[in-house]
Amino acid sequence: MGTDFSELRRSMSEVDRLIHEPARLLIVSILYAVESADFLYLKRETGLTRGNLSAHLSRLETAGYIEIEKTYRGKIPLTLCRLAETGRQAFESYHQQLKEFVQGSPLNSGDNPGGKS
Amino acid sequence: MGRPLEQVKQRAIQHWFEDGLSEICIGVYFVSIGVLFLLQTWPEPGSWLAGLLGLGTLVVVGLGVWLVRPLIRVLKERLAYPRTGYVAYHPPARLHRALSLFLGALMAAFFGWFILSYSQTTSAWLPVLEALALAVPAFVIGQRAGLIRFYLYALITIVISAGLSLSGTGDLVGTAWVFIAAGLVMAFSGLVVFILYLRNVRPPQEAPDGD
Repeated sequence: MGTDFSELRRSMSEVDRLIHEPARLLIVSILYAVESADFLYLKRETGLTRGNLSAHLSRLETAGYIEIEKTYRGKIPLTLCRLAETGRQAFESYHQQLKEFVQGSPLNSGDNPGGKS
Repeated sequence: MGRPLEQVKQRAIQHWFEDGLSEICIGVYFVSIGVLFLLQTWPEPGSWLAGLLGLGTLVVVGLGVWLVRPLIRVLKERLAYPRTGYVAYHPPARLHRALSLFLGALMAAFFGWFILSYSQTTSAWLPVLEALALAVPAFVIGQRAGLIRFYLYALITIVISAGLSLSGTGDLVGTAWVFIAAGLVMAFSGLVVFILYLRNVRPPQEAPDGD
């Protein structure tokens, strides 16, 4: 009995590369946990620079994963982000893929080809 | 992957409490209720002053329920959101809402039973009952937000109420002191959190977001 590595390799090649990037994964995770969040909250929680965060948000928005609303709170401009339904489904699918990959990995199957017995 | 996602959710809940503003407002509200309860014990029962104070208590309790949340929101908009950003939370799931309603009904039924079986003996434990009504939500918040100070609120409230009951200070006086004590602890703690928050977090001085 061994791990079907070709199956694992195929499942990982199909993973959503847009979400698979660490910064975007964090952004999507945060937006998954809340109804919406503003730019400042996302910047603080991700630790990204303003430009970097803007770039990642743009990519996610272009893909239809998030919705960005530019509004005002009184006189103060506010950029609100929320996860779109497409993004929610993509994240849940990504989560499931990763879960299956981890469960099927040698670490979980008891195989330990490189380690001590 | 489940655990980091839970940490992200918890972090979002912590965000609501990191400025201490809600604790200050709710703490002051509790102190107000406690003071009014205490004032009610001074005039003769049935006097016009007793009636006025009773009415005043109802007004404060009722108004507080309506005003505390908007007040917290206004304070957060002015003081917190420009520093640490804004989050809107998912509405509670149906199961969660049903559970909250069930627990609320259970507590109301228990209070009702307590009042109907009111006697000298049971009145001595009224402070503990009130304390439980305050401590249980604090405990739940502590668990959901992962904030130890809410466990401490719950513990301190229970300890003070037990002390009051065992010392024979039950009934309305004991209840008043439970609210005052719980309110003071919460307001003071919230104030400390708020001062530290202002000291450690400066509003960003940059261009509008996302540009």
